[in-house]
Amino acid sequence: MGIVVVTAGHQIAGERIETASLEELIFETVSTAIAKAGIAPESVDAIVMSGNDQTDGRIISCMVTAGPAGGVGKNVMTIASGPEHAFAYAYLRLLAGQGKNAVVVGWSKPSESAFPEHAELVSADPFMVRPIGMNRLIAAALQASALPEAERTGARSESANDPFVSWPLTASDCQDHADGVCAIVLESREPGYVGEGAWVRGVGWAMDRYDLGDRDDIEVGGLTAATELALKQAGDSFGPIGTLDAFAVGVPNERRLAQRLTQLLGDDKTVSFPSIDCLNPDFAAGLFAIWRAAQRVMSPVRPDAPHFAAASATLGFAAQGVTVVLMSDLSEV
Amino acid sequence: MTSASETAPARFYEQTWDLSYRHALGATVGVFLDGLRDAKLLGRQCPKCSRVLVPPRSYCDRCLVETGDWQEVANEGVIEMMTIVYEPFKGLPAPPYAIAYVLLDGASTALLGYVHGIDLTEVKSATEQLAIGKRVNVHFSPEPKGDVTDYWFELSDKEPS
Amino acid sequence: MRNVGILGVGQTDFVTKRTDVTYPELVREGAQLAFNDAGLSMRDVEAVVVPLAPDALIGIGNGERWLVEAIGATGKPVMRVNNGGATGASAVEAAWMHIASGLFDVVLVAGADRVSESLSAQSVLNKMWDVAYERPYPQNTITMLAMSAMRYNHMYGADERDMARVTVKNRRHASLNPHAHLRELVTEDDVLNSRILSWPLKLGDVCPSSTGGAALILVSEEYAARMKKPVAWIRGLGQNTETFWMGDRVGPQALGDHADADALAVAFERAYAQAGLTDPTTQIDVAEIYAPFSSVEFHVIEAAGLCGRGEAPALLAGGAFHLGAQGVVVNPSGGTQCTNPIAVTGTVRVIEAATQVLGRAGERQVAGANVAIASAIGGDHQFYSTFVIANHLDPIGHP
Repeated sequence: MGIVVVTAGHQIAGERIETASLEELIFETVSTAIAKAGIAPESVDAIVMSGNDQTDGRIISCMVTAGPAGGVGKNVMTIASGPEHAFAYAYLRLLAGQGKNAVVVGWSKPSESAFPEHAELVSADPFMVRPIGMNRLIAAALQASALPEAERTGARSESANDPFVSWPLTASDCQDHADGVCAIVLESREPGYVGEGAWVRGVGWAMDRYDLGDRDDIEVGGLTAATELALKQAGDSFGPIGTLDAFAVGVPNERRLAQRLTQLLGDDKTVSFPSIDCLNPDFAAGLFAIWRAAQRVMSPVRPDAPHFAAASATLGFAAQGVTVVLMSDLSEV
Repeated sequence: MTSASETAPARFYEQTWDLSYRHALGATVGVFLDGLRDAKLLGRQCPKCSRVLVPPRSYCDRCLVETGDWQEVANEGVIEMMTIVYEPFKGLPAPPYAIAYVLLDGASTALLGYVHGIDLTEVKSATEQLAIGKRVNVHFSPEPKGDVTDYWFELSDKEPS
Repeated sequence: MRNVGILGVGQTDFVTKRTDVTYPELVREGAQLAFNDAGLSMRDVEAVVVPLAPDALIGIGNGERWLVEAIGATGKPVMRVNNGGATGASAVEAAWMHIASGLFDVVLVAGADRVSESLSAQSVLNKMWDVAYERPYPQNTITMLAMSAMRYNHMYGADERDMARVTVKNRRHASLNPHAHLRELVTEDDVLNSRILSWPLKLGDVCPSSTGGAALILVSEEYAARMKKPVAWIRGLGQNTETFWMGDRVGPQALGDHADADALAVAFERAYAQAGLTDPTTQIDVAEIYAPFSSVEFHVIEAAGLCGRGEAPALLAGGAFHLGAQGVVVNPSGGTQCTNPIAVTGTVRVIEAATQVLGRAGERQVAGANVAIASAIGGDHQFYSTFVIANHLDPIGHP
């Protein structure tokens, strides 16, 4: 038995989506995903969700999102640490034989928050870090400052229109907040399955220390441990990967993540793709990366397409948590 | 073991989360709120299970389909459940106040609102007057603010049918 | 299906406030107790699941990131569950999934809560409700359950004295549980004379805001065999979800009624089916069920199939469900009504169920307990998580 990414529904906007509520966006996205997968709502076995109360402005926001995500009458699990963890959980659930399919949905609608960075500040440890001030961009800048000088710059242009946000990150190094929802449909399949989809070959996730000053590897946190866990599942027949989709806050940070993961996976011909249009839909970003990677190996495969793909996403300040997802086209199992 | 925690005075660091939001309500909620200005309560019907959802939602969470036709429901109905709050809570109104879910005639689901016009100081008589099955009328504010407190319930003179 | 067992459990004593430790330190305290109990250390743990409900109550966003060093989980897979009040139990389901998948053998569930650290809990909890339709009203967790209680009483002819009997029982049980928060005995009249919060709920009907930590360690059957130590087995588990809209839970077209816990009954059926448990009225010795307020216990007993709808109040009045009574004992720990550290309340239910079937519950031990159930409820009576736990892997049958 294997686990297959069959399809996804997704929407993202660099501008604000103000004509629809968060609940409506989730309903539209999940409905689209399961319709594309050809699954009737009553045949969905589980909903795995991820969002952030402080961004959503809703305490226990899964309460209002479970219904539009299709959760009524079903097993709903909210993995609040991040959407890529929700993906990992859905994978575990299907491996455990609990149902034939699962819908993973992650969302962020920061346009509803008057000051999204302030919502990030409350994620800072109240005693040591909050009084000094912290958010995802400042944390990413601290992380980028530890990179070799030549790698600290991302998309920076020398023009006056690209000011530093937090040195060494400039405005063009920082993904904009974006309203976005992504719903991925996973199914368990017997080997020999023919149809649309990408096999999930391994999923690894790991957390580094919270305190930036204590990190073993400030550049990429738990990447090594996460990759080892994913590779252990994927086995010797996996690879070499042809493509890599990564998401991390900060363009240089993300590039470094992709570079380090490529090294760990032992392939220097990998083509890596940055996060979508330099946008950050936060609690959907990891799912966008996974879905994009899945599409690159999705059957039916184009003749020139790679057989193996990886996705990596990060969460927390300066990529405290790293997740690695390894996928292959259907011909490989 | 004598640890520092047993001898040291308790220390605190006070924090207030000052997070503000502008929640997008979506078109369906907007139509409902606009209806209140005209003293109308509007629901939307699910094309699959036929329930008339009041308050209206743009989707049915049971059938996972978009809701369809708008339907005006009656400005009266029956109490399905209620409570009278006697305890003050930070950030919430001064007690006592009564809130109830009312199943309006023509609706499939119950609508939350304040119940006004009852003396709430005597618990027994107040709760008996607001028992399940009692009929209430909907009243509308002559000066609507554009949110759901523009309507409230009051006991009806009619006996339960 | 791979069998999964509970090898070690730990819970701190629960109190109103702990000013001597931070949140990560409190999680560490619970985890350390579980390690001591299991005879393991963090080095043996392959993955961690953190139960943590609303961030706002402990005052830090994504607090699971903050505790990584404190529990020694650096470099390990850590994920956090938030299913509202069901979180602590859903986290155990998530950990079970880790092991049942075949990818892990030893998984730690560790969390804590310090509800009293928030100075505005009910104002925070008002922000759970729909932004347009419900938040402008002072809806909160107390009003939500007050309306369920008055509806239950109306439908089944129960009253506030019936509710008071639940409190009296649970306080007596809690007085025997050194970890419980509210341990003083009360009488029915004490409860009836306590001040009304939100009719028909009075101060004597509701749970405290508790501070403390809890943890448990799940292992695969293969790993358990190597440890040569008694293990409480998770024989079945099931979750289900009710509509968020309370107004949809009344009237002739409702799927489930807000007076009852119909979606919870389905969750229990899923767990019972997996466990092969066919008759809940005779095959269960202990029920550690999540009921934060007295009124909730009745419909949870009924949803678990321990008796018919509306029958629980009369059975309780006749002496059933008490420690020492014939048949199933309900909440011998004193339950959620006496101790509610929201994030780990569901975890404590599972811990108590496991402790009972292992015969290690001290003064609150139910004699001869072999099979226990545990459950939790989250959201606005919306997310349900259930377990069947036994001290053996034999078929569950009549005693």
